[in-house]
Amino acid sequence: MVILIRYGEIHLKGLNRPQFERRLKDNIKIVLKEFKGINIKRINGRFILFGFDENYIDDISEKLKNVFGIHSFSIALETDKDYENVKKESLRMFWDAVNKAGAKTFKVAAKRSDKSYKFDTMELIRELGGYLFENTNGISVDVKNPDITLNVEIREMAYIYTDIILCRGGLPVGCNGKAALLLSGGIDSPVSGYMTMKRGVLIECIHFYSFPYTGELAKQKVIDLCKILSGFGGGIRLHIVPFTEIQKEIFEKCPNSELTIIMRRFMMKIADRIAAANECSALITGESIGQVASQTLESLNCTNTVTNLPVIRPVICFDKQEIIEIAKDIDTFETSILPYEDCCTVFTPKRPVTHPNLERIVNSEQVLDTETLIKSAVENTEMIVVKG
Amino acid sequence: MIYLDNAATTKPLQFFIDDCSNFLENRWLNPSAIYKSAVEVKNMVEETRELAQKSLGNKYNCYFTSCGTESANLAIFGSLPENVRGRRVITSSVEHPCVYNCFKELERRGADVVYLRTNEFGIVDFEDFKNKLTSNTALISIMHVNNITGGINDINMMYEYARNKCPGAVFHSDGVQGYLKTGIIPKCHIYTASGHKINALKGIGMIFVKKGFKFNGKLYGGGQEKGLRSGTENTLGIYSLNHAINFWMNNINDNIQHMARLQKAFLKEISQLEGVVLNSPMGGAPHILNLSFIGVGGEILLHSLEADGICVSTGSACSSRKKDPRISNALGFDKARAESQLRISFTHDTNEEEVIFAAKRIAAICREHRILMRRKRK
Repeated sequence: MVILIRYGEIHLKGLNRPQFERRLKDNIKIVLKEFKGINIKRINGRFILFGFDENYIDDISEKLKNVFGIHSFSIALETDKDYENVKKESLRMFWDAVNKAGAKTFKVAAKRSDKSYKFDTMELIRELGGYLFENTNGISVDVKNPDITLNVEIREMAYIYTDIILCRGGLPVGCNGKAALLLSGGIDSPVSGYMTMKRGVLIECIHFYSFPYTGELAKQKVIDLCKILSGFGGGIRLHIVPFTEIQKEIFEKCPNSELTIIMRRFMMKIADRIAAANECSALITGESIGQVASQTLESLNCTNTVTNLPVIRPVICFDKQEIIEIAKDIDTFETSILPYEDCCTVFTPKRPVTHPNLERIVNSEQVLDTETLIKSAVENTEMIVVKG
Repeated sequence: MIYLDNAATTKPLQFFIDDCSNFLENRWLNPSAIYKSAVEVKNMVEETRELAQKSLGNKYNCYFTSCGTESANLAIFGSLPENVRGRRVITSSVEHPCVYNCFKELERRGADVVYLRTNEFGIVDFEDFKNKLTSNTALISIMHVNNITGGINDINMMYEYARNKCPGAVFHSDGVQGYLKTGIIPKCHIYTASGHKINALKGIGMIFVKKGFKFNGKLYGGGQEKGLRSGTENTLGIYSLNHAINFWMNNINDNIQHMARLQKAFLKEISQLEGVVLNSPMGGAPHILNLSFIGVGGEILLHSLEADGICVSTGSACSSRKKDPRISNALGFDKARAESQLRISFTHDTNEEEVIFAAKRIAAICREHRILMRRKRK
């Protein structure tokens, strides 16, 4: 048994394609490192995974589904191209699938990259279809809507499979640089992290921690979210920034209605520094237009001006429900809704400004010793490596 | 660390810890085996059982389980027939989830479940109990000591009343917080308790069945614990109970007085602070003190104390990870009182300086936080 892996967008790459392939291969190896004996070889346009213990095939499949850059995969039988062997293995695969699915109808599909093979594609389908039909009882051919499709690919070897398992697509994580994700513990930021990772971006996470206004469980929740995200691209570095002093200072010295927007500006400034120190070339946030007061266009403008880095906001135009759907799909939802206060909820103003004026906000910040506060927060930031 | 969360769990006794490796090294055999060294282990199990029975005045037979929750489940479901449709079963509205969720399940199975109201300290309204107790009541389950407030239910009075009015009803009491903490020997059909609340290990519980009472509950298996709770005995857990019951039984009055003194000292220290509501009754269980510090979130207070190395709780540890307002609602707390709750709980070796230090810190944190929050109201 082998796993035949097809890649997605990498196909469109030109001369740098080997680079992307190498990265994908490495990422697959990292995700599957716990399975002993596993090996990967590259054949034309495919990866072949072999050498694993077949008892763990479901586990391996689950993990592969989350590797960005893979379009789909199939669990296949590999045999040499001798037609007698192809017939024998096809029949075995066929019966397995029939027994599993209780199928009544089937068809054969074939691909042939080895043009020297003794049958062309149509001949192979006809020959093999006829053979299977003769050797089965009561299972008929239906080329339009079959219960099972037996696929044969003739390459350096022959590969026989029935199911094509669709994956998440995207590009291999790490082939498109690195960005810093502001991770609050809510629903939106993990989804944004996931979506950016899907485009091949490696992420580092930044969490603002307001002890004692939030506790160990809130921190653990963020670590758990990082752990889930790491399933899409290996270990993640999580920077935990002590934020309480800054919040208190803002709370005591700035106008109540501007608390959140000033706090957000501090977060972006700190994220900008951490990004620079960790070679991240963008920031990622879970902001969505109009979701809360600090996410109106005017508010976004106020927070955006404190950094020169591009700010990626993957869910900017998503409805909450759409974000929740993705969060459920990637398994972060249940963790995100755990009821521990995150750093935004304690110092919330009664009536936050929804259309802030940048000049006025900058003016309000004048009373704060911004540089000292930021420096102290960055210096005291704790870094944890969350392993996948 | 100043540990003031002893209603959540307690530290195993030092002389048990010291003795532990010796036990694991030499007395690890299966007590059901029939060679001499295994029989010695069996003897230890039986000695502990006798000790446990003695601790409740030899009125009950004791069986070992894995925890208070298992004991309560066994007591409740073991006391009822398969088909509970239409059967009246009574409990209070402030029970620990290990009982409350059993009654939710009985409700799902069609039983006529009645949740009795309590006062603000979680003590069952006796009039309500009398009114709801019908002659066809099959089961009553009332906790001995409330885990949130320390309120003590008069189990003996309720049991006597039920026995006269409804002789067919089984009376269970969850004694997880009450066992060896009140000086009262409870009277009921089944009393359940847990080891780790009395300085034994986690993973060991007890079910006390009144002598002469025919109890049908059981786990199927190898027939250990007289067939009631099959499964190889947790001998290390039982050994820890042996130490713990011995200790608590022999020192019960001193321990209760000591913890009551700690309560007083704490309350005295905090008396100058404004906006404090006492959620524990006078004369409640000596180890539990619950207060609300109005305007200061319980979690904020908890984490601020954590920074000083002080461990307390905002409610029961079993539920403090979930924000479940069930108990606060049942106790009739308004939002401000519910959200600012803090539970401080003691054990025999909590010392007075620690308690006074904690009280001082709480007062200081409350004052500081209130000054900060005053700004928000501006």
